[in-house]
Parts: sequence; C-alpha cells; structure tokens
Amino acid sequence: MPDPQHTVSNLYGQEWNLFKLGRVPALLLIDKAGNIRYQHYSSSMSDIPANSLLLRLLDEFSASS
Amino acid sequence: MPISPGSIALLGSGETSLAGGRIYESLAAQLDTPLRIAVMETPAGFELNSPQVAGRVADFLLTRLGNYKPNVQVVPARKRGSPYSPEDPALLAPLRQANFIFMGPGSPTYAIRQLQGSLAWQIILARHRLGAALVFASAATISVSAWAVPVYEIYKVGQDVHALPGLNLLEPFGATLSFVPHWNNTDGGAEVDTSRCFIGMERFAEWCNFLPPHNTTLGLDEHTGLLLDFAKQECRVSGVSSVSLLRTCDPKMYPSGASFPFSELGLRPPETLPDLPPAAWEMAQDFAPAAPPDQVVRLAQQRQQARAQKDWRAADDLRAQIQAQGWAVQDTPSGFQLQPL
Repeated sequence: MPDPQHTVSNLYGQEWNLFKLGRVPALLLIDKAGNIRYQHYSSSMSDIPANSLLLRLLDEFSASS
Repeated sequence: MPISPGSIALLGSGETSLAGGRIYESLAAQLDTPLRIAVMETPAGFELNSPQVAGRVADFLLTRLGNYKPNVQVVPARKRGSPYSPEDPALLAPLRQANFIFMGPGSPTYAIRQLQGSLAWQIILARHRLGAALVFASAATISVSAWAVPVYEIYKVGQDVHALPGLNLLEPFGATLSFVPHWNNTDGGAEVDTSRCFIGMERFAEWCNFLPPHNTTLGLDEHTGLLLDFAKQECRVSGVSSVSLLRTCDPKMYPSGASFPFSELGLRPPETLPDLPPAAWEMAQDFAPAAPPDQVVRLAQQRQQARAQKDWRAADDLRAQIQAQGWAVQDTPSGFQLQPL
C-alpha cells in the first residue's frame, strides 16, 4: 500500500536512520481490533524475524480470535 | 526452596547488536512475563557516564524485548562506600524481583572489586538459583571468570601480564572456567594484534601460564555468545562466529549453532550447591508481586467486556480508572494483565 507521507510508519514508531539508508526494520502483527499482538523493532537491516515465526504467530492469533 | 537455576548467557561483545538481541529473545522466551529486567551499572561505575552506558542497554532491551512486556530498571550500584553502594539494600530493590539480570561494559577488575562478596552479587547468585537468567557481556564476562584478564592494566597501563581471581560464577557448579571476550578482535589491523581481548596472542599465552591446570578458558568471538541452559544441561553457541575452548593441548572450536553438554565444561547438576548468606537468600526470596485489589480486577473485567462489544470509549474510560488506582492494564492473547504503576 503506497504511503508517501509515511503515516503508518510514523504512527507505529518506525525509526529513520540516515546512516542505515532510511527506515530500519519495524514489523508488527495487528489484529482486527487494532491491538498490536507482536512487535519487532530493530536497528539492523538483517535483524528481521523468520517467516516461519510470523506464520506460526498468525496461526496462533487466528486460532485465539 | 527448590533450586532451579536460570540460563546464563556470556557474550564476547555486541550487547546491543543483532546477535545480542537474538540471545536475549531466546532467554526471554524461557521466562515468565512480564519480564523484570535489572541492568547493573557496576562494571562502568567508575565512569562519569555510567548511567548512560547502562541506559543504552536498558533502552535496547526495552525495545528488543517488547513482546515480553519488560519492566527494565537500571541498578546504579556504582561503588562501595559511596551513596551508590552495591551493599545498599534499597538501591538493590530491582535485583530482588528481577528474572533477567544484565551486566556489561566497563572494567573487569573494577567490577570484581566492587562485587566480590557484596550483597549485590549474593542477591544475583540467589536470583539465578531461583530461575533468573543472567547475561554478561564484554567486561562483565571477564569479571565472572575464575581467573580474570586485567585487560586495561595490561593493555593501557602497561603492567606486567598477570591473572586476578574473578567472581568465579560457575565454581559452585563444579567447574573452574575463565572467559576471554573479544577473542577474535581485529581493531588493531595489521599493525598490532588486538585479539584475545586486546592483549594479543603473545601476552595471552603468557597469561595462560598463571592459570591452574584444572582451569578451562573459553574464548568468545565478537558478536557471539555462549548460552548455558541449566534445564537441558547443555551449552549452545549463538551469534556470528564461534567459541573456543582451551585446555592444555586440547583446543576446540564450536561455531555458531553448535551445542555441547555441560559435562564438556566440567559443569555438574546443581543438587549440592553451597549455601548463600541467609540475608541475601531471604532478600532474593521474599519478593512477591503485589496482587491487584478486587475493585481493580472488576474494572479490568468490565473493560474486557467493553472491548468485546467494541465499545472503545468505555474501554478507554475504564483504563483511565484503572490507572487512577495505580495499575496498568495490558491485553494479551490469554486475557488482561494488571501491573502496578
């Protein structure tokens, strides 16, 4: 989804770092009620959660909602 | 009281790096939430900016472990005989309830001088036996050794190579283990050998001559850690490089991802741990999280109902009422949690 004003990034506090070429990782899982169920903020571009973890969490959240 | 020691992580460096973050997450996943984290200022307590040094780590832990609802507190136990003494029970309050205790950069020998036999160190040992995870990085990793490398004294002051008795964290578990972080450091480039925690291979070999024959030395590469899992009686290497295990004529290298049994280090199960001083043991045990009053619990239940009905305004009003009574409500997959503010 295009977000040229960075509204979503700013809303959820994604950091911006000139020396790391812009935005650094911020990954959130948000449920239908708008609750953040999982968060991952990092200062390293290589520090990103594994897909397997995210898929497992999505399954867990779906089962509990 | 049953003894169930928590895991211990020893980091070569990188306490606020990707490698450190992953090690902290693996520890946090083993602990009850919310995490109660205590960050010790002691190793850098002689520095004018020790609050900032510890604060940087505290901020990193707060962000990186956000999924575990951490309560992070810095313990300014900087110096014996000062208003910030590691003997001051009031100052050490966060340690008494911590289930995750961190100690990191600074001076290894300063940390040993301030903590050896101190109330702070005894509480840390007691909390560990009660299940708290301990994390040591960089200078603190040296300080918990059986025999410490006095790195600044050798590398900066120019003293002759020598070894000093350390806090000997793992001696009660049957092993004489010494740790050398920054094992593969290359800051000196081609000009000077800064491996082996900046003292270089030549002086490291000299240092080894001061160690008793039953000592085992573990070299921890930059951005690499060793996790000691007491539940599984297993050691795991995590991070970007490797851990080296040195005994006389028996060097071994374990890369990241490798694991080996406790027996490899001579560690034994904790059935026969020596006693800790009663005062520290009692202080570490008598912490009990305050239970929320019935009225606060009822408000939280009403708020849960309001949320289920998507009445967000009512839910927000109820949250404010809960906060006004000194409690914070957090929503989790298994329901709400109440924490004292």
